[in-house]
Amino acid sequence: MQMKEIINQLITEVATMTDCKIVLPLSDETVLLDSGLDSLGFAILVARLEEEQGLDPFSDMTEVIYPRTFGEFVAIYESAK
Amino acid sequence: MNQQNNNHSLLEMLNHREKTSVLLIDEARNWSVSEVIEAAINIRGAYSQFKGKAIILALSNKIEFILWLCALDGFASKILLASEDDLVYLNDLTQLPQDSAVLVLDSGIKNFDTNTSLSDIQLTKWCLLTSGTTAKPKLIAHSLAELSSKVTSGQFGTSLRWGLLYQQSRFAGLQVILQALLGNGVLVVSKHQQLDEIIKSFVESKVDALSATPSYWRRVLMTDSFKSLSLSHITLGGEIVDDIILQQLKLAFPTAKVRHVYASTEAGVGFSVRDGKSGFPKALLVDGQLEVQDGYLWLLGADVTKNGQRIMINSGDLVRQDGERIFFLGREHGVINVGGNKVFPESVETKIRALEDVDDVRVFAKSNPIMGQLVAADIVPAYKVVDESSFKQHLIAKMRKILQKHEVPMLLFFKQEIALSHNTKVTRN
Repeated sequence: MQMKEIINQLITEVATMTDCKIVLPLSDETVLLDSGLDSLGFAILVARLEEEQGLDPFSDMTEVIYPRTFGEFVAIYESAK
Repeated sequence: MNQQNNNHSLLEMLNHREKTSVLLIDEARNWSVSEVIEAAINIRGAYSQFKGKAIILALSNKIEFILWLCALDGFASKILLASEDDLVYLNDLTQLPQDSAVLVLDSGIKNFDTNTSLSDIQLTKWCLLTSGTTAKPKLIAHSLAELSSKVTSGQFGTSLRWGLLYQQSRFAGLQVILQALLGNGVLVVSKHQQLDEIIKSFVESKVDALSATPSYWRRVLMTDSFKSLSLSHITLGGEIVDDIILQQLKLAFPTAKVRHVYASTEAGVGFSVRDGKSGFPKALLVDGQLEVQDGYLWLLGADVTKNGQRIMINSGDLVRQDGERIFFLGREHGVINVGGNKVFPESVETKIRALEDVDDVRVFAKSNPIMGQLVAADIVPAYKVVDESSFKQHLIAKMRKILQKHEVPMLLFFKQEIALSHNTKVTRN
């Protein structure tokens, strides 16, 4: 499965778990803070990606850059693969 | 200006400010000092029966909340600051003020309890809800003088415009409110829930001072509009401040003065650090006020004992000394800090263990780059689980009904049994 698909699927799952309503469709330009996922949901998404994909790009960064858009977020995980 | 030694009420102190100057701003309008004073006096007039009573203030509208604060200080005997979410705590709080009587809510006024009222008001006590070092929330009483002891007036004649990002009923939010009101500043609040909208509103109102937790600052730096902010004063607190967030803030706001504060509801304001580095200088340690004992930071508590003394309390924060600097290591016994919200693993475990689907559970912290920490749990199911994914969803749905949102373990691991350490305690690390 492509990274974008994996992230998309997890976002839907996390949103259900945290009672957040995702503003669909998510495009590369979607600003993360406008996606409907709150900061707790976003934190859970990052933790689930670490657990399930073994990827922890934020902790591995020497200079932490926080993604602004969905596209930037996916790109960080794609380059961490 | 140092308010520590004066016993004036909030309203009396506001009376010393320039009456026509702007004091409060929200999206709807600006409030001058005299308009705030007038509104507070009107509240006193309309609710004269509140004189000498203990009032639980649980208004969500920030402007209303502040107007009521101004009215009640020096008028009510006690003000218990709360949010409607806290009411569930208040019901099983054993330490409610004995004379608590009136609950001020968005939906109106309610009697909470009926008891004797105090008639002789010298100084109103401000009661703040805390989770403290035990699993049960408790109330800590402060005087206005204590709460405002670290308020400073606008430097170089400037009057800072403080944006309120914290919840108004919490210690940190109150610090921002008092700094603006008593430090010749202006307080800007927003009715919006979305951070990007709040920041936009702060940009429009020319906010130049902001205070938030490191987790919240990380969120601010993710907004579209933060670059339009022109900040001269930045405050961080409530969580361990690391060098990364300090550097990011310096990069985003090169000319701003950045300080991190150490404060707790139990002890009041501790100290602040302005040198742009994590931790604090060893020179701040003072016997009887701020000490390191056995790796823990101890500070002078706000509460007064029966014989009228303030005693040193263990902050529960573990620290280490490196040369002339003291660094924070974290909280004792695995208390989990989810974006500034304390979660007590033992109390969450007790609630989860009560579910019929669960035989045993261990709740622990999982470090997280967004929130600092998240709550995770090892679960021993009470029956054979065929579909783990749907069982997780079923369990999370149940836990959401008995726990606060940030307390629910969203990372679940199924186990045969929960491992214990040598002293038969659940391991926390």
